[in-house]
Amino acid sequence: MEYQILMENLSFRYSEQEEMVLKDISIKVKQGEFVAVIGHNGSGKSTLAKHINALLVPVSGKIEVMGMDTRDTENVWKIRQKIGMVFQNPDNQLVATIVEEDVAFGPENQGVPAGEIRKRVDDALREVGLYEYRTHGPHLLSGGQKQRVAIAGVLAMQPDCIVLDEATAMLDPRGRQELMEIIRRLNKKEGKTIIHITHYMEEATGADRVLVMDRGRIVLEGTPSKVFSKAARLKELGLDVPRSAQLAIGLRKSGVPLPDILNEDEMVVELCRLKSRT
Amino acid sequence: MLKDITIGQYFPGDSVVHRLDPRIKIVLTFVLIISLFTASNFKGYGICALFVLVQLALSRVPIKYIFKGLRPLLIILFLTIFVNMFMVEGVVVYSLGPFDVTREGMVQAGRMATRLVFLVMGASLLTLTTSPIALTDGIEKLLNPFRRLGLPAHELAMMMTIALRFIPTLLDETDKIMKAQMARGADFESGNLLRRAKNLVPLLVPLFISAFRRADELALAMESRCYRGGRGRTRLKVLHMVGMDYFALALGGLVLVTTIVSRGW
Amino acid sequence: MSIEVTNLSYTYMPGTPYEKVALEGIDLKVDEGSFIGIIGHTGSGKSTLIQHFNGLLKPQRGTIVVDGSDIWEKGFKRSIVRQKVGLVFQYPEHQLFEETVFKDVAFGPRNMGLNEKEVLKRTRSAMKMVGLDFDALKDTNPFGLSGGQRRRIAIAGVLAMGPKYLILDEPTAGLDPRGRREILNSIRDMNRKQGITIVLVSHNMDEVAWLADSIVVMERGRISRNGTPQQVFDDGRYLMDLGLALPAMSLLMLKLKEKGWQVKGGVFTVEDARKEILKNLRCGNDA
Repeated sequence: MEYQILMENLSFRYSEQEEMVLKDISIKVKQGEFVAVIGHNGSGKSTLAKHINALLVPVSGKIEVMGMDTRDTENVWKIRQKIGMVFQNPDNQLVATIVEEDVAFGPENQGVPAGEIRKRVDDALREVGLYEYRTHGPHLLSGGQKQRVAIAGVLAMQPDCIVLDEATAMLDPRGRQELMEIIRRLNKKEGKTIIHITHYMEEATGADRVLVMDRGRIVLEGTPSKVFSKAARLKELGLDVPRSAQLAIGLRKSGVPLPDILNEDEMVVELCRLKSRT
Repeated sequence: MLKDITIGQYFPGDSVVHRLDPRIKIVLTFVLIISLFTASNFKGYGICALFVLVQLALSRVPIKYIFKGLRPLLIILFLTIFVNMFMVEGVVVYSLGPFDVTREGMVQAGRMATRLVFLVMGASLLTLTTSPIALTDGIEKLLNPFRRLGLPAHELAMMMTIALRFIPTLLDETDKIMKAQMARGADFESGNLLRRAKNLVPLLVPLFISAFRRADELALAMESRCYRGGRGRTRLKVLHMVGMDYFALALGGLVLVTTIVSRGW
Repeated sequence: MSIEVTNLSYTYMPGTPYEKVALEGIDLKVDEGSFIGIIGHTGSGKSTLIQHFNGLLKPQRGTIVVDGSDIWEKGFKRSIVRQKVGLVFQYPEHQLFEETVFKDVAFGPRNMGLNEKEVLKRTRSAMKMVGLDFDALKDTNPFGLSGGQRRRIAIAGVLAMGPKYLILDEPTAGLDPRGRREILNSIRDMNRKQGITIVLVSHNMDEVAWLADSIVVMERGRISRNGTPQQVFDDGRYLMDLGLALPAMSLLMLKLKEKGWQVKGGVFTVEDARKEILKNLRCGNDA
């Protein structure tokens, strides 16, 4: 099993009368990879995400998660345990009236014994920095904190991969930053595979790989620096280029020898190197 | 503001009563109800009253919270007393125009009032000392034996939990949509009843749409977390009966037996 | 003509254990025709402040004067304020309720008691202002449209009341880059072409820096900074310490400055940043 997630010519439509929402998609994701998926609204990103944990199954082609075909109903619960999903709206994915009860929801459904649930819940809440809030009601938390509870709820199921379906879209900058730090840590330290669907280009710059979707297809794919160097193409697709990448392109045009740059820190490093050379 | 409403009226604490198993507390509340209705004389009521007052003292819930719970009851209470005092036939004690206050009527009124007051006090104590989630758990466990008869115990409990979870969210949302429509000149305050009902459409339609959207998304999130009904589910908090619970249960039994016996005293 | 807020204070649930001070001694003047950005993180009092502008909340202390009249003076008709000062809440598409786009946008003007001819005229022009095709969309069901389109319909619903002042709370939240750009362009045109005064509440510093003539920074119920974008973003450290993001280019300039570069403050566009960097690199060459 070389790939954790393997899609082959996957196509999907919601009903027979409609056009395909996903067209002929083939993606391979390795254990521990951080993949960002960008694309404008309606490009099929969320539909794709829902295939990964068998909430939707392909109309043609196939998707295998850890070697298990999602169309096989026997596999569904095993797949959902291995793939954690965090959705967009922080209010609509918490079930219980108390934080720790919510985090326990997943393991409870899996039939994990009580003592073990306790341990997993405490660990997961510490991981996202909300252990002190374990007896609070979710409605007293900020949006960012609610999303962290959602992540803890997923972690308590001990998944190998976490899919974030626009999980940062409704957060303020601080909430977004906190969430991204947690995700990056889970990826680097715990080796969790991350599939992060987002509208924020800056969030995609830290990924190992960026997939760009448009009208149900993958239209661009590669490392962040490769993808974000194609400013004109991205604009055409209704997307953005991080400001620093725009600046790098502009400076290059003025004859400054800069490589592809994704964020402010990289830019500072490169510029200081140039300056010290002169 | 709408946010001021606190549902369930839980009064957080760590008293003996708070720590009792929710199942025991629900059972004790039923014991109280049965006792109150079997008691036939003031000795019986005395036992019930003592039972409630001891619980109240042990729970360390401020007495004003109990009175708050009784306030909505006042009208019913007066009505009950009034009706019983004048309507029950018997030895006339006092006449007020065409109405006669009878001795039996006064006794009956006193009896009904006592029942009502202690009933509500007992029920408020249950909700004041038991968190909604513990209460739901308790109900689910108590109903479990009836599952074989087709009673969806787990589903009922799950529905209660979700309802409790979303009440604050939907109240917030109501507040927000109301303000947004007021900013567009909507009027929720004036006009006759029909007019007002019609004016609620711009509030209710978005609210329903949003509730359905939330339900939809929640269902997806629950499925993603392997929810497939109550079968095979374990719980984070397992309800364990400890010494105190058995003691409380025994005490409840004693109260019930004594009130029944007290009928003959 | 202006909205003038003087010494405004507001506390939620005063006298209860849940008491929370939301605003404290706010003084602010919104001049007609200006474009003001309000920034500050969640809970700093932004939303409470803007709900005072059109009389949805009543000040506990202080006054709100719109075009010369105190809106809470006895006998003042607050419905007039709601027409003059349009308020677009966060995720306004959640307030749509009619079965056609036209009916929804017309809700406000009809509440004002305008005749159908005027309602039609206003609805048409409001939809045009947010870049929606009136003839193509008027009879469609808004719930079948995309999120970005629904949001623009909701904004048109407020614009159709013909406000002089338009307050928008995070109008681009949750939209994709194209959707964000389209809405911001419409908002800019409303200000520059129609002369509508705009108060934009946003978390996105690049948006605010790009559009606003002046920026108000809120912190714990008070206004802690008020000035042009150049002035406000010049003190980048201050904003970062508040936990606010900076426009990407201001952040870059701040970092270069801390490395000893001679860059001027208040830079937030890619073009200005490019010029500053080139100037610095060339200086280095000369030396």
